[in-house]
Amino acid sequence: MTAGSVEIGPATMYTTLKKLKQAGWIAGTGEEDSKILYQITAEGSTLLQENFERRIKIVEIAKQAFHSGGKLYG
Amino acid sequence: MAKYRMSNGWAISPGKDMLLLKRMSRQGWHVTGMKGMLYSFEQGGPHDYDYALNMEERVTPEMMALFEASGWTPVVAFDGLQIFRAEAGASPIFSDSESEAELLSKNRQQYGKWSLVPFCLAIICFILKNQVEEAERLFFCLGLFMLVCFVFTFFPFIGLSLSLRKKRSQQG
Repeated sequence: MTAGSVEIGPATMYTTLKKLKQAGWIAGTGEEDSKILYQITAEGSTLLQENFERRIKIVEIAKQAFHSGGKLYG
Repeated sequence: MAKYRMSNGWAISPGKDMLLLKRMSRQGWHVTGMKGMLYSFEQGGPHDYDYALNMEERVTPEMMALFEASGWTPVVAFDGLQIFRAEAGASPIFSDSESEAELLSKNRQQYGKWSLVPFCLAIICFILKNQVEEAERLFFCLGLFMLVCFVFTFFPFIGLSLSLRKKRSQQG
């Protein structure tokens, strides 16, 4: 998905999956070769969308600040 | 033929222990298990491996599958303590210090709670030792036993606290 630009260690992945499951943002949908398959829930999807939009806003503000030479206000 | 080496205290200095295992593998001795504080090794060809310690509460097939898919093979796997091996230079099992700190914190809290029980029981036993003359020796022995249990739970608590402090200072 990231073409190798982002690497997530197995311990980080496992603890993150547990937290996402506990929060109800992903749910197990089946199993394949001892691997559990997960799908994002409706609640998780809403939160992801909100988070994505917030980050886009932050990037836009940063772009404005960068192009205005750091003088965003006044 | 097997060899044994004493752990430096995996909670106090996990890095030292993993370096020990790496050094032993380079000499042709590969860790196969752990009994108490002793690592057991079996002879094989010298090989440059990296070792990593994880302290997940429960070992699950899902967890093992994730690690194996990342190139990390379990060599010691108990609930609460797992050691994995991979070819030298493999990506670390934790790719961010936040999740590692979280796991350290969880384990630290657990050992803190566990150490309270034998500590309180030791105090009770030593009080009772002075109160109940007929069972003075029994309460003294029980109290000593509880103190030993306390040491074996309190030292990991201290070690994990130090590791957690170091991890948090690295996070900045």
